[in-house]
Amino acid sequence: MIPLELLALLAALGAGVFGSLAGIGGGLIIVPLLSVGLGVPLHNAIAVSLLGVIAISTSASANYLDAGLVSRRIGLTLLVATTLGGIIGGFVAGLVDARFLAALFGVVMIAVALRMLFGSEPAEPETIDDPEGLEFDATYIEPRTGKAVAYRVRNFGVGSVISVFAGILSGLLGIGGGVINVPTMTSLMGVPIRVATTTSTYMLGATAVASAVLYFSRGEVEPALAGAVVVGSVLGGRVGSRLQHVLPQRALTLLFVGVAAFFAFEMLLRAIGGAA
Amino acid sequence: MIAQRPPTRLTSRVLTLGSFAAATILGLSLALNVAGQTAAAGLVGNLGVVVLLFTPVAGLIATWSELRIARPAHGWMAVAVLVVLGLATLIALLARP
Repeated sequence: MIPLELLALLAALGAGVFGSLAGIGGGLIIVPLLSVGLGVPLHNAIAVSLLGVIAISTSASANYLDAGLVSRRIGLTLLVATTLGGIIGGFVAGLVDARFLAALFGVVMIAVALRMLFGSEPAEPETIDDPEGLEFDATYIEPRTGKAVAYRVRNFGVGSVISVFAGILSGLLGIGGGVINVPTMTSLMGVPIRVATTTSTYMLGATAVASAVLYFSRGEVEPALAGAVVVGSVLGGRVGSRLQHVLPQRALTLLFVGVAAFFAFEMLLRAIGGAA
Repeated sequence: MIAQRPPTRLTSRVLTLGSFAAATILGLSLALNVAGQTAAAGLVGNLGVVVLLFTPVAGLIATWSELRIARPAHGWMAVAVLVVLGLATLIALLARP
C-alpha cells in the first residue's frame, strides 16, 4: 500500500502544476485533494496548504524581485492589512467546526470558478507619461517589450480594507489571498496585471505565516505531510510556470471550472453530512 | 524618468536560501517517514516547518535593511508587518492547548 505522504506528494505536485497553469496558486486545489481525496482532516489539510503557499511565495518572489516586477511599496502597505486578516482567520479557524470551513470552501470555489468563467478582463491601468514623484506613481519594465511602463495607484484605502478580508480568507481556508488581492489591485487600484500578480505572490508568504503559526501552535501541522506538500508544491509550481506558455488558457480555465465544481459539490456535501 | 530602484539582492538571496533550506529539510523528513523512522521524521519535519515560517520574516528584515536609507517610510512598513507577525506569534504561544 502506498503511504499517505507519497500520495500527498503526488497530489501537491499535481495541484502545483495545475494551480500555476490556471494562475490561482495551489491551495485552492491541494486542500480539497487532501481532504476529499485522501481523507486528511480539513484543519490539517488547511495547515499544510498554508506551508505550501509560503514555500511557493518565497521561492517565486526572489525571481520576481530580481526582475524588478514586485512593487514593495504597494506590497508592504497592503501586507499590514493582510497579515492582520491572517491572524483573525487563523484564530477563528481554531474555533469553528470543520463543516463550516467545508461549506465556506465550497462557496469560495464556486465563486472563483464563476469569476474565471464569466469574469471580465482587468481594467486598463492608468498609465502616465512621466511619474510626477507622487507617493503612488510607479514604474516597471515590461519583460515582453523591454519598455518602462509608468502607472498611478489609486484607492489605496479601500484596497487595504479589502486586503484584510483576503488575509482572513487565507487564514481560514489555506488558499493564499491571491484570488482577492489580484483582482483588487488590477480592477480597483489600477495596478498593471504583471505587477499585481508578482506583488501578490510576494505578499502571500508573510500573510500565510500570520495564520500558519496559529495552526502550528495548535498541533495541526503534520510534519511528514507538510514535507510532502511543500516539496510537491514547489516542484509542481516550477513545472507549471514552464508549461504556461504551451497550453491554451481557455482549455485550462474550463478544466479548472470542472474540477472546482466537483470539489465544491463534495465540500458542500461534507458540510451537510458532517464528515468534514 | 525612472527613479533609482532600491536594491533587492539581499531580500531575494534570503528568500531563496530559506525556501531551499526548508524544502530540503522537509524533504529529508518525508524520506525518513517513508523509511519508517517516524520519530526522527517528526523532529526533522518540525525543524523544517520552523525554518519555513522564519523565511518570510527574515525576508522582511532584509527588506527593512535595504529600504531604511533609500525609502525610510517603506522600511518602516516592513517593521510594521514584522510587529503584526510578532503579535501572531504571541497569540499562538498564548493559545497553545
